[in-house]
Amino acid sequence: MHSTNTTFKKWAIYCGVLPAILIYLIMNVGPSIASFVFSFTDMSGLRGASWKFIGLDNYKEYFFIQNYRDYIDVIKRTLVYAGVTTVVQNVIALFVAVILNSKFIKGRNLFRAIIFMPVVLGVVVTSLSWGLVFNTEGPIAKILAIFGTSSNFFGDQKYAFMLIIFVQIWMYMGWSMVIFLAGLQSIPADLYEAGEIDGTTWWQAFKNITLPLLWPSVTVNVLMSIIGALSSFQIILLTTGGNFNTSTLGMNIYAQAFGIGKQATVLGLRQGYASAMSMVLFVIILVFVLIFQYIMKKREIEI
Amino acid sequence: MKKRNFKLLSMLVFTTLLATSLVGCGSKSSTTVSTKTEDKPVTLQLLAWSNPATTTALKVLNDNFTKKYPNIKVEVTSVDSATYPNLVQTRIAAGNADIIAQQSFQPNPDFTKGLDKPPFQKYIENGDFLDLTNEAFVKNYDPNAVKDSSTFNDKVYALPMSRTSYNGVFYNKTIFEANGLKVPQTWDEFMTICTTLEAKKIPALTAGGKDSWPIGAVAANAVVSTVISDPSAYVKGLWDGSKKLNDAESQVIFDRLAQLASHYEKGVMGVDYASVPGRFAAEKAAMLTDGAWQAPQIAKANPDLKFGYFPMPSTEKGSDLAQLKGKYDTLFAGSGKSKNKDAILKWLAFTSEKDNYTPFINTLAMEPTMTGVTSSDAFLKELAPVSKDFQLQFELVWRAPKAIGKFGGFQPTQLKVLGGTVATAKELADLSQKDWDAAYRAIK
Amino acid sequence: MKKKSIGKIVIYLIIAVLVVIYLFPLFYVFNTSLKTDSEFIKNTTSIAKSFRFKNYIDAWNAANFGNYVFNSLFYMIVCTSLSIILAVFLAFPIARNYFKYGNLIYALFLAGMFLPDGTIPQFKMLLTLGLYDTRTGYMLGFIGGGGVTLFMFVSYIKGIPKELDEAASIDGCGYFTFIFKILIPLMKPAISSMAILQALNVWNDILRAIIYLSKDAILPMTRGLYVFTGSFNNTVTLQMAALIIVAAPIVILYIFLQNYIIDGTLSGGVKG
Repeated sequence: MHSTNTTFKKWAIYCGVLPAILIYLIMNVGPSIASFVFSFTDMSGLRGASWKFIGLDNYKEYFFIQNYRDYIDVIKRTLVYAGVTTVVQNVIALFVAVILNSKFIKGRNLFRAIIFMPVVLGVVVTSLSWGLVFNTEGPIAKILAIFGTSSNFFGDQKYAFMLIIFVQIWMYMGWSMVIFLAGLQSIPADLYEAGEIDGTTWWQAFKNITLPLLWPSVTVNVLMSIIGALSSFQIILLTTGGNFNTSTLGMNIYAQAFGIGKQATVLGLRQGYASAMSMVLFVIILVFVLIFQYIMKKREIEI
Repeated sequence: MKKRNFKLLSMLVFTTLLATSLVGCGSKSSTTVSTKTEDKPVTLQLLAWSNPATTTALKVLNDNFTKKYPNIKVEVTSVDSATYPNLVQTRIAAGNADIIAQQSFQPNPDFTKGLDKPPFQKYIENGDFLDLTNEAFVKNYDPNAVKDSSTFNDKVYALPMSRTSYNGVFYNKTIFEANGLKVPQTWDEFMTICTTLEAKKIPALTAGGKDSWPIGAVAANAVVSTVISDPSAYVKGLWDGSKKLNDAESQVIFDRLAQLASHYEKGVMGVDYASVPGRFAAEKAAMLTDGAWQAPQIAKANPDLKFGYFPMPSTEKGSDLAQLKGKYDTLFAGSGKSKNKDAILKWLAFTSEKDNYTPFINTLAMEPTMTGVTSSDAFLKELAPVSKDFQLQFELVWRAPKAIGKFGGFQPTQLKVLGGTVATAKELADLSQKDWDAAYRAIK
Repeated sequence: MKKKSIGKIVIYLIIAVLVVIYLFPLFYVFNTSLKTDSEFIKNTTSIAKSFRFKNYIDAWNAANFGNYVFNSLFYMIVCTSLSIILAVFLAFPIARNYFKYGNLIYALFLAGMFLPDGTIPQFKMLLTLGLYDTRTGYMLGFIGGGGVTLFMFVSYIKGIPKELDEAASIDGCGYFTFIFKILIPLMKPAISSMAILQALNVWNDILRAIIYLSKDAILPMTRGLYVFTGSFNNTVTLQMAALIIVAAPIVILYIFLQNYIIDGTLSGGVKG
């Protein structure tokens, strides 16, 4: 129901609303639906190439013409990448925020700025910098040599993925930390003072005051980050290009569609198949979205 | 934000909005080049994968070309070979590619089933590659080279520029002399050399492990070619079940892969392919498994380095298997949908003239494919005795069933010693066959 | 008392470790960029012998970094401004119920946050429209904006008294003037956090730059740097010089603006 509003001219309002809606429909909704349609075709992505509908063939190929061991690995990595990076990042960020929030810290803004800087520097600078630091003859290698071990870092099948998770966490920890800091600073100091008088320990204060007050925003941010991270893979692309057991489903989709990445087996030009894969990823994301909505609803009931 | 700043911001936004619309329109029109008048300035977009020698050779060629046709300029874009397919795909889709470097066209053999068409085939069938069959300059090239690498369905779609071998090993002559070592004639001799060097604390082998293919494809296939004399028959045997990846013949391959893998320098999997010439030139290891195309880069990194190249040796001395094998490397295809077809043909014709081709191939330091042209490169001359009969490398014939797992084929990088998870060669062979079987079952 | 001071020391120690972890990579890159290639191969961790700026000159000449950075800034400013403005124009009528299908559109946008990825069809569409490899085509993808921004704006606007609209209209204020001169300044906190979010999104983009752009002249610095390290990868030192060329202006700007940036991020009340 809309108010019979005479405050502003109707045409002006509609005019203002139109661009956003148009662009949204054309650039977001339309392509999403088209993606679903494409998944039933054998589209290659070549300009001017003919294509036809092939029914469920792409899905059949995805689910049946697969090496299941590798296939499950990719899904596992997708989930681990999204879940681990987000959760660990937020836990560390919370910890650091609490530390930085201590009353006696001088230069808090300076430390905050330093830790936040990677967010501003961007993925490319970050990934390339860490690629250099984790050089097989670089500083970390020399430190490891002191301990008698060595590593191939980004060329190591067992550890490359962990390194990528590390870089991701390093880069975005500042973002979460800043949010937590603000949240912490909005908690009235008298709550803590009251606790101090009672003689509560640092941990009890944290558990009973800080955590409950921050919890709502923490869960929201974490869940939204996980949903976002399920399809992102820039750092993987920029460090290993997908080799050494590091690719995720999101990355494989782009590899099949555009030939992005350095995995030898994938050369692009399979956009119909890639669309089918992106539907699978969508379903995975949908699962998380539903979990998210369920938790939000539960919280509304609690309130 | 103060009001003043806000005004500034809105001005900024307005001007950028205006600029956007102008630029947006502007850049659109600049990509259309009309070829109505012959002398209108044209820029040809040339795509190639990055190889410093190719870049230099192309620069000279293009400069001379523009001297002859002052209205045509050639702009080269090169990216590393792993990213190259993406570049080609997006540029062709954009209609922004005129001359496209390609690797030799190897269609899927008849005995395979259920494989995707290789990209070159998709491009040809979509009309994205120019049909050169009736062009006069095609005849300048060795007809075998043209037939084996640039033809599809009896039509010619590219010009083969060069041939290169890549089943060999670079070796540091100075280190060999100092330790009384000679070029190995058998596999066992090769392994002995490695152990001797390691006993003297000299790393035996290096390669560009981080990029995956230098060891996973180049070195692995080099090892395979020390055992398999008829790649076609072998792969066919795998497909019809008469051969297996874990039968006795194949086990020899895996055993040798494991041996080779154990002699690479520590941390080899983290070495960037691009830094490999520098490393070898700085004598970080005595030998380097790589393609012969790397020679000019090594020479550039250290002009005083004395180095040679030998094919990976086989079981017996002087065996046919220990000849250099390779592929047709740099092919140039023309865009079938470009508006600059005239200019493209001019460029291809220009490049096919002996006077222009010869310096090109010599800078590239690869084997020539033009009739009557011999390379003046000292390095290549040295390799003459082992390159008598040019054979195609195993990799070009190898086809695995679709979506085969990571162990399918010959994957030395899966061995523990190279950072993987598999302990022995036998295990790897079994896993390899298992993945093959699983993939094969899926497509039946 | 002793407990407290040990606690203090531990905390300062942790902070020190963090500072090292966060500053080391950039310093290491800078150090490497000052070496010659052979110097680097010999010892990757030595301090560079001299301020060898030749690498920087070579890197600058090898690729168009000034242009890349300019492009990134251009895209960031234009896309962010446009998407914020469009979002405000959409959020206001929805929040105030001036718009018949407001709630439906709102639900559509929120649902749309979780739509499947439409990059492949978008690519085909841009191709057909002739917008592939143009600035416009590239930027359109970012203006589509979306759920989160709309959500934040709608809830924020709901907190602005409606009487303001009527007062302005009585004063003879036109709709557009109202939005620009009155509403937007009032929404500063929400706008700054969404703007920074969006700006970082555009700034950091490399995927769309790889897929939708081709001409060197319009590449943003993410792709420019990525392509550079792919084609001149023989010399690590040259690559690192390029990295610093791109990172330096960011760092310098950041040093001056970091308070605004960080505080701005939070002002919208990113609480959820």
